[in-house]
Amino acid sequence: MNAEIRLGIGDGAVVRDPAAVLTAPGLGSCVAVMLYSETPKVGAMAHILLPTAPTEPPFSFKYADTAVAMLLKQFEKAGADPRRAAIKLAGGAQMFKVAANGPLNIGRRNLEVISAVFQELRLRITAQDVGGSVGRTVTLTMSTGRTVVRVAGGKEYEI
Amino acid sequence: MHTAQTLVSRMLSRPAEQFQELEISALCEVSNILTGSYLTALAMLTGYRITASPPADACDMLGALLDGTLAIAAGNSDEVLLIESEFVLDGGALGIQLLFIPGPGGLADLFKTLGVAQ
Repeated sequence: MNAEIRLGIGDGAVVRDPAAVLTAPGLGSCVAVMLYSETPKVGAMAHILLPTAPTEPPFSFKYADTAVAMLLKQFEKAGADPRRAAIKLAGGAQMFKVAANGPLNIGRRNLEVISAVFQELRLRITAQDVGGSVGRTVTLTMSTGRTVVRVAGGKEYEI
Repeated sequence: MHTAQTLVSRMLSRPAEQFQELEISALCEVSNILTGSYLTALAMLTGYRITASPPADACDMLGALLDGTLAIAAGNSDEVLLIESEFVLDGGALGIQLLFIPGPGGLADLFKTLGVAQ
């Protein structure tokens, strides 16, 4: 029996349970960052809403600039090595047609900040399904390490 | 989707199974009118000048449609206000929901004006 862990906006989780399935439902401009290590078996996911945190704490998984660092720290604490992990992104869409380069394109800004953080740490994003104007639900299955994206209408694919 | 079809087919006086440009435009127009009267009522109640931007349409998962809007509105706060409304057509409830999400700082101002302690 798989134990589903649903991550709402601003949630993050690092798990070692091989039966766990991590899900970030209904990603629009939000981005799910996923880390997966085969040995030791550790999985992590954060459901990020906004690109940058306010200047005052508390920082959380809500903000791209603080969420990635927090997730990596907990991932390492659980015994996994980020340099040997699969690092995947999903989400960051622009659901409504407003100015694509404007400040309201939060999805794109989220992705820019997340990519910059990984680049600075010299960690390579191994796969991603991002951008566009489509909503996504993404799952990370701990037993297999597979990440599957599902879009409205029922279509799903592995990334 | 069923509600949208019912509504649009009534406006266009013909079946609206597939949504093309005209159907989407009709739907945007309804939402524009509804939102307009809603905001006018809210403006009268609060004394604020509330302006609406042009309508935009999308058909997707609810969460995905809302998160970007919430991101802009919520900013660094964790609170948003959703005013839910019911619309009735020919005595039957229509499956339309109008979610009112004030921008940053708007919530505190609104509550103050309405005399609601936060």
